[in-house]
Amino acid sequence: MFLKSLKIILFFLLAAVIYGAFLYAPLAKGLGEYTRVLYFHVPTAWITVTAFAVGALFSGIYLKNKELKYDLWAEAANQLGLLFGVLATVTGSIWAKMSWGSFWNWDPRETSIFILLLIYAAYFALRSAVEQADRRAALSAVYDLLAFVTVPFFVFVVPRIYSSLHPDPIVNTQGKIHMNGKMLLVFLSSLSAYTAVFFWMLKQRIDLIGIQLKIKQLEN
Amino acid sequence: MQPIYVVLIINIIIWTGIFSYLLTTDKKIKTLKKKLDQLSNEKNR
Amino acid sequence: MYKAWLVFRKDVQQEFKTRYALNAIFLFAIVTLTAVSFSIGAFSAGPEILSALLWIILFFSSMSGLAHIFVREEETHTADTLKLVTTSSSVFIGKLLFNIMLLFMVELLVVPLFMGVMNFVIYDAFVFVLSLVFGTFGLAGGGTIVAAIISKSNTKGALFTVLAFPILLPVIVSGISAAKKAATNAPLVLASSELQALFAFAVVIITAGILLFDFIWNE
Repeated sequence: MFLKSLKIILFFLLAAVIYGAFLYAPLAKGLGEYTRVLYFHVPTAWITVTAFAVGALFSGIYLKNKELKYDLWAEAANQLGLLFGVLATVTGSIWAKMSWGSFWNWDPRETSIFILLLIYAAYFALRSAVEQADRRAALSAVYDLLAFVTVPFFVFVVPRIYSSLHPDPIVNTQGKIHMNGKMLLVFLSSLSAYTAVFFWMLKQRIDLIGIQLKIKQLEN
Repeated sequence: MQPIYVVLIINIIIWTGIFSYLLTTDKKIKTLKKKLDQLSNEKNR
Repeated sequence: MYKAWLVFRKDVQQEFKTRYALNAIFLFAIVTLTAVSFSIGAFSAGPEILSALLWIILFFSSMSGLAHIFVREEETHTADTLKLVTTSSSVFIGKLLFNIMLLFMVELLVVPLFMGVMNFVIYDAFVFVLSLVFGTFGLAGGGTIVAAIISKSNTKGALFTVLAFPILLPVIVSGISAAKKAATNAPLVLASSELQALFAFAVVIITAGILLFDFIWNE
């Protein structure tokens, strides 16, 4: 009952976000109508990073207490990260085409998300290459943690070496976009709504894993 | 193309991505639940 | 630490008996260098392209040899004996030292050859050498831990490059950028962020490797 009411709240929040993004929030200077993309594109990128962080957390827990469950949870979180990463790449690429003139031009952000997708594609390649469940779990957990410690290098080092055209709303160092109160309200509620959606999807996935493990138990 | 439609397309892409993922997981859960019920019935008999 | 040195000594002796990794890595480097030199020729490419080519040659030739060190232990089933006599961290450090030595040997051959054949002129030798040294530590650190992962999986060949490439990309990117700056006579201050990145990456990846290796080795 509690979960159901949360879902209803989430539904209205998401509807409000869409309304707010299209009609309520004012436009930023220099971006025009494309300001509205911000409220959908940035949350997907944010969830990508969150999902991979959650995945790395589960991988760490797996290495600590060696329960197969946590490895499957980590896989689920990384899968979701890959999904949102692809969404962020596709939507960002469309945005880039509209405002910079080409779908892809190796902007540092584009480079980092591309490498992030590459890393986690490699993670799934590794998973498919090992057959024994416990060995696969240990190896992929180690690779996941290893990959996760290199992520800061892509986020901080690569943009420092190459200059960027990317509007930078959160880590606002040069102040490329100044958000006013209305924009910030829509942006933050969008961010939290999408994060809630992510955790809902993750929970669904975890339920699925629970059922799978139960079936395996019964079959043996 | 008018910018507002681009925003719309981006929005739709994200939502189709999320929904198709949720739907496939939901389908999987349903079939597995059925299987689970069957298995536990067999065990009880 | 002494045990790590013993593991290193053992690997060196074993390697010089067969020279498998050494031959593979040297020949790969020479072949790619020849292919690049044939198709481009001296004097036609600028420092931007040349520094990228140098790092690509270094990276892919190291990929051809670094994995061998753990795969050999699994193939000859000597891993279990090694597990009995030493701790996991000393095994890792010994293997890491071996890979670092291997990469330095390759660089000693390939880099002067590349500079001669491709007419790659370095103005700031200090920055260049420093970036190569830090880069080598990063490549060897990442390569060693990925090699350990690979040796336990079912398919060993192609997967190594696939797994190592995205993790080691910061090294390649910063290395290329540092080499470019060293070749275009930029003062040290300008290349300092690349050198910092290379150094930090080497430290992080080696520390992570030592910490995580235990979980793979005793799997």
